[in-house]
Amino acid sequence: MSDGSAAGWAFTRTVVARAERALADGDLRRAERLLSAATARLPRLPLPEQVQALQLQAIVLMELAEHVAAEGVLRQVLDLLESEEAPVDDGAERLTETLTALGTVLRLQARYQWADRVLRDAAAAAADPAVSPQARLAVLNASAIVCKDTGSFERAEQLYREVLDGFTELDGPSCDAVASTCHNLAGLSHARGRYAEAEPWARRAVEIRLRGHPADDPSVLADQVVLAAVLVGLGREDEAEPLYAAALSGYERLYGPAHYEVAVCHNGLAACRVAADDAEAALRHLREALQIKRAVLGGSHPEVGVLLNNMGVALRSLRRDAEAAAAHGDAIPLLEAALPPDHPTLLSCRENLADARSLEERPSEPP
Amino acid sequence: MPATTAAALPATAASNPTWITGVILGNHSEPVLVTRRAPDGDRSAWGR
Repeated sequence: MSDGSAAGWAFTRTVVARAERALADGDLRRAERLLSAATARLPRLPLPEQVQALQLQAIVLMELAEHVAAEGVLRQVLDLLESEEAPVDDGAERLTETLTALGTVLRLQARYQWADRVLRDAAAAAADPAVSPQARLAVLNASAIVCKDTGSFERAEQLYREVLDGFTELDGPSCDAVASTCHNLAGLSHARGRYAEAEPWARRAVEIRLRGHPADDPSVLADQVVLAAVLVGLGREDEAEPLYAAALSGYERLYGPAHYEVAVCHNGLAACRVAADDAEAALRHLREALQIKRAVLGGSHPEVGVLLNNMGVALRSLRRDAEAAAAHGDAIPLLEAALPPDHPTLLSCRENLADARSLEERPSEPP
Repeated sequence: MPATTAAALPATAASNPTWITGVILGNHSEPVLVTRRAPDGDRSAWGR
């Protein structure tokens, strides 16, 4: 809808301001409803403000883990930035940010080749001297995560180190961006199976973050979740489990029980329950996680493959070997479709399948 | 991953919102379980 009247603009601006308040209060659903009205149904704001409102909507959708919807909004922003209607003052910065966010939501959908392509465009846009160094570093960070997710670990490390040095120089060693980069370096070491190396990064992320945020802030919870994953890797599930449990209740309180982050915590708790020889509880957590991730990410996402793999391991510990083999067998095509053939997750799942099949074929042993 | 915190967001749309903090996280690390093999060859136990 396009209605350039001053009264129309004033009303739309009021709605955007209400959305911002809802966001500040943590009410993401209300913020999304208001922004959706402001950007699609109400009188359309002048272009720079329309871009800002859409960017805000994309932030909310990303926080809600609604990646497909966020992608649509980001594409609208790109169309506006490329339109001849009226140039936006800080267009190069906006373009860089929008492409970075678009690359991120594509990565979150496991569309890695597209993510890589869009992030290359973001890097090109960031070469404009008008673009802030922070936006440039954000492009590198987003690219690093794609490298990490697709198994290009050395390249990911190079990029993260550059990002860490850059933000440390720009905003000091205790800024949020440094905490986030430490978080990401912990995740990278985790993905490489280097858990001892990951722990100091994860602890540093938590420590920095707690200086500027309350304990129930979602960014603190996210850092605690990465620390918990590292502790599971180190075989210290007894330390990990309370972190996952606290994060689970924090995320449920913030986002409701069907949010992506809740699923991440369920998977972590399942790993802890497995270590405690409580595979039945592990399966309950994994079923919850599977239901959420299938709804949020779609049934063919590689993270669904990881959950199926983990379910297979839980089933194995219950001696349900045929079901375990089936779960691993279902996981492999999902992982193969998204990951390179030598990715550690895929290799682990193949090994698990071979183990489950070999046991399945063996006559059962007396208890 | 959604990671923008309310505190990191701008007070108003006119204050030039940036989502650098919003896109910087997203590196989820989750346990991928593997079947653990005990030294005696019993593969009923398992781990991370």
